[in-house]
Amino acid sequence: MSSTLKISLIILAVLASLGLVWGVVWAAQEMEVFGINQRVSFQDIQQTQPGTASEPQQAAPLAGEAPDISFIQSIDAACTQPEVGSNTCFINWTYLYVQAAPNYIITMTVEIDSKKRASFSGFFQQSMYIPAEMFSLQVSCGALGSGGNANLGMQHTYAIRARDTANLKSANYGSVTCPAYIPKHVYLPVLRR
Amino acid sequence: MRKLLLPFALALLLVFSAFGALYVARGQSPRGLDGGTVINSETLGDNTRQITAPDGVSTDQLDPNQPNIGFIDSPTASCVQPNSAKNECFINWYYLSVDATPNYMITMTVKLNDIGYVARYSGFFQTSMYAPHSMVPQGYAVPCGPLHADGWGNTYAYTVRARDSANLGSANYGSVTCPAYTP
Repeated sequence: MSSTLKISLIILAVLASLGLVWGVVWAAQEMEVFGINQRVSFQDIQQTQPGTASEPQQAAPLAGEAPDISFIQSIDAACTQPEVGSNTCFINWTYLYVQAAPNYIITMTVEIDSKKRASFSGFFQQSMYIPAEMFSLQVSCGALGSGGNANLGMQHTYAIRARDTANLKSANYGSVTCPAYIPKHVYLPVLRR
Repeated sequence: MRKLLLPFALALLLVFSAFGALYVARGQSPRGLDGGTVINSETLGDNTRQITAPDGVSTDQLDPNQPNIGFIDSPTASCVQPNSAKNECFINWYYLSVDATPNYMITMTVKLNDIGYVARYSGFFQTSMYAPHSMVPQGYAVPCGPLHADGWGNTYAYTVRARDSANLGSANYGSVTCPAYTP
């Protein structure tokens, strides 16, 4: 191989190496500038256990430690009968709230009598607040005494669950008793023939 | 000396060609889901939020961490089935909010991808826009759908877009799952 060719190959190799290093550094900077982030971290740590229907329970993840996700606050579970004499009642809460900082909240769901009724999806948020006016769930009021209380109607169980990006979970289990459905009696006048 | 002239010339030619190729590649900036040049983007699971500029708008002076228009804040996408005896669910957000200071906000739109546009908010000499859930008291009605393998009903993908007076765009792409209708 001629010396000219050898020298040219060496020069070319050196310049190509420099160019390659420069290209890699440049590409890394470009990625940083455009802020393309993929932040996903999942670790299934705990499954919460449902409690009894009669008393509200909060199942906290990792009892005894300081979890990122908080207890769910589900204030004032209410069952209301806006129209007296109808079998239509509505369940809602003053608000539902959960926070998972520094993680993001993925979902919070509401089940009534083991049936999924509402789903709330997080979008790059570390807490979730759902006021009463955002939803209300229709249920049957039930007959007088059907829920175990002689003066009230049916008892409905609920489960509120939340999950964050670290796959930590929090859940509230409870029940709410509705006013009774007492059909309106229409008394006809007694007419003599 | 004359011996080295040719290799040097050849090497320089190759280096310039490589730099030229890199320059062309640099011009091909990342493209957003709306086709614009991406200024900032984040992805988390099914959710993606992006700030983009259309072709022709210079992005050289923009700080990717603080462009004029911000990410749209669209917390708590909800799907609620008020009456379990009906195949009717309602989608809503806690609120939608975006800030474009010092520019003016032109529009913000909400699209349920399978259904179409369901809301369009128009700015009026305002640098930010805020649409609380109470503006759509019940939400947007959609079919809940049948019970799927995951125990839920239909999933609806959505796109929330905003545009400011500098023609910068911001968009959120996500989805919300509804309870199933099980008669």
